[in-house]
Amino acid sequence: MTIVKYSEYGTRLYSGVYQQTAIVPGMPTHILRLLILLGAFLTTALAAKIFFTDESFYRYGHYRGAAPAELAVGDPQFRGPGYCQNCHTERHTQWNAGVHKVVKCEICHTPAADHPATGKGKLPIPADTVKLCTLCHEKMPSRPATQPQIVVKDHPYPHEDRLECITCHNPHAPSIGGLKPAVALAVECVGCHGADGKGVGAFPALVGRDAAYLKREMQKYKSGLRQNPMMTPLMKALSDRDIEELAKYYAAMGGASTEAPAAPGAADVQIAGLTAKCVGCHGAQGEGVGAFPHLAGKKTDYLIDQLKNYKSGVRQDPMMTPIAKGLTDEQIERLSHYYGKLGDKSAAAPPDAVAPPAASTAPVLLTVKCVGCHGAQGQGMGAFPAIAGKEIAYIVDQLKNYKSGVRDNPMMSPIAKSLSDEDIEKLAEYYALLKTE
Amino acid sequence: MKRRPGKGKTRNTGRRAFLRSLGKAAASVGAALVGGAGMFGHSSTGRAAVAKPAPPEIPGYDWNKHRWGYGIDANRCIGCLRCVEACKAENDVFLSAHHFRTWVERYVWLDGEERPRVDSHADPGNIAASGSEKQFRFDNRYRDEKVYKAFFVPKICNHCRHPSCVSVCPTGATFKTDDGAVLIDHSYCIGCQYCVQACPYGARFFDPRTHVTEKCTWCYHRITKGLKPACVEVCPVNARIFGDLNNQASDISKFLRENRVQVLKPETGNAPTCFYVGLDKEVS
Ligand code: HEC
Ligand code: HEC
Ligand code: HEC
Ligand code: HEC
Ligand code: HEC
Ligand code: HEC
Ligand code: HEC
Repeated sequence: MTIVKYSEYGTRLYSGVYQQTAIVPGMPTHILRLLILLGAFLTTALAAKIFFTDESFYRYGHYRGAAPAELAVGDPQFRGPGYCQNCHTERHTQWNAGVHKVVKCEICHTPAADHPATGKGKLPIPADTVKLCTLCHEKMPSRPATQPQIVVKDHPYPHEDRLECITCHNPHAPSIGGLKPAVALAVECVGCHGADGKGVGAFPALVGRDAAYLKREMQKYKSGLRQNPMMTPLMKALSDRDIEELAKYYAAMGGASTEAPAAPGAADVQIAGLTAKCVGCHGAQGEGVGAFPHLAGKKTDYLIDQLKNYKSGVRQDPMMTPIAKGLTDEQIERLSHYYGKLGDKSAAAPPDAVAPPAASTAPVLLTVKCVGCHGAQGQGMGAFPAIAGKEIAYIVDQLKNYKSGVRDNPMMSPIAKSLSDEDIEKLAEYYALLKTE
Repeated sequence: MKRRPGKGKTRNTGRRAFLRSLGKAAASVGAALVGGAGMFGHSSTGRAAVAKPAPPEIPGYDWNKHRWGYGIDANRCIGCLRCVEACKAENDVFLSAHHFRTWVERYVWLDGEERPRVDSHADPGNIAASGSEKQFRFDNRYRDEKVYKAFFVPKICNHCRHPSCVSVCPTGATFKTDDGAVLIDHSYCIGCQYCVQACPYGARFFDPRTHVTEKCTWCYHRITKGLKPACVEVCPVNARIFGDLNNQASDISKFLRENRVQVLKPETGNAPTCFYVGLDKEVS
């Protein structure tokens, strides 16, 4: 091959010098080479495409047709409540009948996957129910009002210590009607041991005690090993299971009482704290009801003597004896002075003072049912709202709502149901007039 | 052995396998050249075919019979986030406060403020309230504020009828199935994340473990077995609704009939099949 000068290239081209060597007549060899290269590239590319493209590609579109079936493989982790039904039938039945049937088992117990085949064979039981339940029930502005919501530290009464939700609620059927049996039973105890179980005066604190201790003591009352005119009949009426539930309930409430049974000789005991022990039977103003004698207006010395007699055993009464035994001599004096003076005052009081005398006995009799929770003066405490000083119409409405079921509360509803409409009106009048100091 | 959804036998047809077979490919080029007719045969049996191809081999399931749809009633949502946790557990989603197939947003207008305050799981306050990035809970920061209006909005892939993520995918790794789901073929995904950018709803994320893109599948392994997606299954207040649009009696058909529904960002033309009730003007 001779070297061609660039300037000569054009002349040679057109003079047909190259044409003899061309395979395709009229086409320059370098173009031809280029074409061959291109052809080879295209064939390789096409071959590669055919070889590498999954045969299912384009079956349904621009994707691998086998992919959807592959993505459909996999065992569901959440099996649904129907899966649990066969083995945990009892739980499932209970759950299915309650308000929580919208809360699937696996929300609280983690997904079952192939439980009970693998793992430890058990699904976890939620340990921290406050954390669990508040996920859905903590009061929050962005939650729809239809969702039942609570403020933990005020529920069901203000407390500082930790109260696991399952102390009172059955997680599988938590509705108020289905509160754990212990809560319903405890309604019987609050009148004496206080709404928070912290006790008052002669009534010992139940919270903060060991469940085993409470259970043992209650069983002692039941069997007669320990005797108390108030406790014995109550405990005799309870089954062993009830006793156990109650013991667990109060033990779980935790937080030992700060001012348990009044310390003997404590000089600073408020009179209101003391009379709280008496009003349940002797009436808010010591006026007495039925079998419970009136105290107001009796001579102070007489009262002192009688109380001391009960205390020493000279006089015996199944109700009074334990109460008097719980009083120190100093407390007996204070109480006697109080009730002695109360009589003078009410005797001298103008007719419109508290309630008209004609109507006064009846509602006071009825209030025996209320004082245990709403306080001697209807002033309320903790979760128990004050009722004294509220509008008559409001009190009537609320009581009727509880009675009819419009408003529902495990403690109030049965009480309201036991009242006649007339009773309700009398009570409303009574409490509306009663002013808290 | 538990089989995780979508993690069936696909792994060995991945990108590494592709490279491995390159060598074999070179040897076969010649053969392909000889039998070149195949390439024409291929295209003629492809899309042009008149008869509809048999549906994918999913036991007991024919995708031609279903057309799935999803509904969200934001009025009902209580923000308990059980859906979020259920999704993570069901689908083995990367456990962090930044990667979600479905999530919930909180919108709060305080008295006198013009714009809502919006927060979701990545918010430090919410992470602190949850205790870790593996659990989810909204903190109660507005407890003592004067709140004018507040609600929760659950979010999830809209499984659009015109999905922009599918349009931009360079490999055909993401696609819309005939029953309505937008899915990802992880063995074809090259992790380029075009789709993550293209989605107007932020419904896709890059999985730092597998280096491919992830998204909601409507729990395809569940719905093809007659179950509901995990998030719908666990919702205690029926804020999430799922069902077959072909079936007039399904939850979703009922939901669409009984409510006036909306979709998010209709202006994008993506045509979501996830329908909302209870949105507000600021929600997008
Ligand atoms: C095939 C039967 C079966 C099914 C179905 C089943 N379980 Fe179980 N479950 C068991 C067995 C067996 C145990 C172990 C009991 C033991 O060891 O005391 C158990 C234990 C449990 C425990 C722990 C109980 C304890 O006392 O510690 C929980 C919680 C539980 N299952 C919840 C569920 C839930 C929720 C479902 C449904 C999603 C379910 N199980 C489905 C058989 C079953
Ligand atoms: C709201 C949360 C919640 C839901 C929903 C729930 N559980 Fe439970 N479950 C609990 C809690 C809390 C306990 C522990 C109860 C206790 O200690 O009294 C428990 C205990 C159990 C136990 C152990 C009982 C025992 O005596 O040791 C079983 C079994 C069980 N649940 C099964 C179920 C099944 C089945 C379902 C669905 C039908 C279900 N749970 C739904 C919260 C829940
Ligand atoms: C996943 C969310 C969720 C969790 C967790 C949850 N709940 Fe509920 N709970 C609900 C819903 C929703 C309702 C309302 C059901 C209805 O009204 O139909 C409800 C109802 C209730 C009610 C009845 C309220 C009423 O007004 O009758 C009580 C009480 C209750 N739950 C207590 C609990 C307790 C205690 C726990 C913890 C063991 C708990 N919940 C856990 C969602 C939840
Ligand atoms: C000491 C017993 C007790 C404990 C502990 C307790 N509750 Fe209650 N709960 C009640 C009683 C009594 C009621 C019904 C009276 C009322 O409305 O306050 C109730 C009612 C409820 C209601 C319905 C309120 C409504 O407005 O409808 C919810 C929800 C509830 N509780 C959730 C919880 C949660 C969550 C916890 C744990 C953080 C819890 N409870 C702990 C006794 C308790
Ligand atoms: C009529 C008032 C009254 C009622 C109602 C009442 N108690 Fe008592 N309870 C007492 C008195 C008084 C004592 C102390 C008696 C004594 O010292 O033996 C007592 C003692 C106890 C003790 C022993 C405490 C200790 O420290 O040894 C327990 C436990 C107890 N009660 C539980 C209950 C339970 C549970 C209920 C509800 C079912 C209840 N009580 C209802 C008045 C009452
Ligand atoms: C459980 C109901 C009950 C409680 C509580 C109660 N008492 Fe009595 N009390 C009675 C009964 C019944 C009698 C009559 C007993 C009798 O006939 O011996 C009585 C009698 C008395 C008497 C003698 C009255 C008389 O006229 O002889 C006095 C004084 C007295 N109580 C003071 C109190 C004081 C003070 C308290 C509060 C610390 C109190 N009681 C709490 C039921 C109660
Ligand atoms: C066992 C304790 C208990 C007894 C006894 C009781 N109450 Fe109540 N009461 C409650 C509780 C708890 C509430 C609050 C319930 C609620 O939030 O619905 C309440 C609420 C009320 C209310 C509504 C207050 C309001 O602000 O809305 C009235 C009125 C009332 N009680 C009157 C009475 C009367 C009258 C009696 C006596 C006949 C009585 N209660 C006896 C526990 C009790």
